[in-house]
Amino acid sequence: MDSKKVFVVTSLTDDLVVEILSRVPFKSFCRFKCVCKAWLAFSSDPHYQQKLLKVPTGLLHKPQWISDLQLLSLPGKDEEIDAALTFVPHYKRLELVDCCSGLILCRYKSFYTSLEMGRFIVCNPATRAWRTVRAPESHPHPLESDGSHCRTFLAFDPSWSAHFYIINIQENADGWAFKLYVFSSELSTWLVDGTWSFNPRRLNNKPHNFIGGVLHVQTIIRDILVVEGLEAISYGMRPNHYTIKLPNDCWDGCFGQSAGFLHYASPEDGGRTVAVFSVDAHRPCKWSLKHRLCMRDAFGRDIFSCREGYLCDFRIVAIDLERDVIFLFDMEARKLLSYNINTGKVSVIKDVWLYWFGDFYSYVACYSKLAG
Amino acid sequence: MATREAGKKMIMLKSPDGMEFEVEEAVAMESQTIRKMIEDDCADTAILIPNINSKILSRVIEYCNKHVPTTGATGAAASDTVAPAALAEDLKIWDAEFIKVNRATRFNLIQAASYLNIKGLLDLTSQTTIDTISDNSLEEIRSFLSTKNDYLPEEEQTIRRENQWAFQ
Repeated sequence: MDSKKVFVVTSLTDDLVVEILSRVPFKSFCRFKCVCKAWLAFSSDPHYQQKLLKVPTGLLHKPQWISDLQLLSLPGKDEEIDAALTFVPHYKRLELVDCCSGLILCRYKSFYTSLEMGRFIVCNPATRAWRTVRAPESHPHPLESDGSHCRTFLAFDPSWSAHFYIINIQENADGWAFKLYVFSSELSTWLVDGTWSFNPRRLNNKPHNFIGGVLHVQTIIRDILVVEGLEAISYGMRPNHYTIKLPNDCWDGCFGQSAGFLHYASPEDGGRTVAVFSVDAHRPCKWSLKHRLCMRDAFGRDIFSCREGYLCDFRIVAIDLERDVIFLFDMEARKLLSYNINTGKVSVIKDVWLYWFGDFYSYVACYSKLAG
Repeated sequence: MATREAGKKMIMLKSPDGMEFEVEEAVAMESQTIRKMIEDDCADTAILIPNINSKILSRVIEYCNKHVPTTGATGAAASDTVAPAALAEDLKIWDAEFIKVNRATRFNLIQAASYLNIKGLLDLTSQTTIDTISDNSLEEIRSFLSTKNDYLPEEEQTIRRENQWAFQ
């Protein structure tokens, strides 16, 4: 038939395979990564990364006064993320408690019925799956005063375990004793540790980090509470905790992660630079400097006037080291900015005037089945 | 750039197996690669198209002939005689027929579309390939794209576990 067969292509070059793969939905692409090593490597190759559809990511924003959640800076392709949580019954009464690796922990606002009050909702806005978790019973006001007497964290890392944990640290009514409650989706029950010794009042309100089964929370005295051994509660063992120091004199920064390592980014020198550290070892804690980024060039100014209680007039709200982006909130202009580590350029993410930055959580869509 | 009505300029395209194709300049310029050559005055006599044999090149020209903006209808202000929607529908049907080719021809067309930088043809060929493989098993995809599974069994198990959700 085609006897001469001049330049007949029997297989495609990498460029052409990527050309084809760039057209598939994210879900199919994840399945195709299992075809061969080269296809897996495309997703981390800087040359191809831009072309290939990546997992939807963004910043979940909870303004201080408005309960409406917003997902900012999502590269809007064909994946639909329902950040308003309209798939959860009575979603308008929900308020955000925490967010971790694509899962969201909510509760019903306290003035609704007592039945709803005693429940947490764990949901996934990418798959629209949700489940309720009954709050621990013993505390007199289990859901009343997040931030002072009681702190609640959602801990989920799909590359570590399909199960999620809810960690609830409470202060007793007398203010001298503390309790740790851990809910495991595997056991579907709360484990109580009455010997817990860390006062939840010492934790600050910044988003935590959960990586490889280890929870990290910043404290108000410039160190990090580390909680590990959550998986051991399946055998009735209590998780243990200790503290590690923040790098140098840093504070007012935020956590991030890359390649399985914990990172910390913090402004330095009155905001003229931002330092990014990674932790090499927890015990004894060892930090190493990864980047020192000049903000003078990015902002086009040299003075970052100090505000009371802050290091400078911008705050680092999230870092995404997989994509080499740092998210900043400019307190002067009241705008959310993204800083590209590679280009050193700053761009406005959403041209809205935010009265106050509220809380920002890094969001990375997760498509695994919700445990439990 | 407007299409020319009268006195159409012709361009000679040569395939490496010695065939020559005389095409209208506007048709040839559907290829951004050729357009660049023409604009840079690198196309005085004939343009040699490397790596694309005459069989494939003739099909590419057939595609460009069909897709070149029709005379008189420049840009948004389409002709009054044919509704743009009907025209687009007609093109779609034509494309669907055009791409009914065997695997080797399709791969050659993808390569040609990429080299000649013809976006419409690259979209068509790539999307058709995606439609062919998207519901196939990994083994079928490997055989269709002549790719070898180079994962060790335990590596494959890990990567499959990490992407378990995508198989559901």
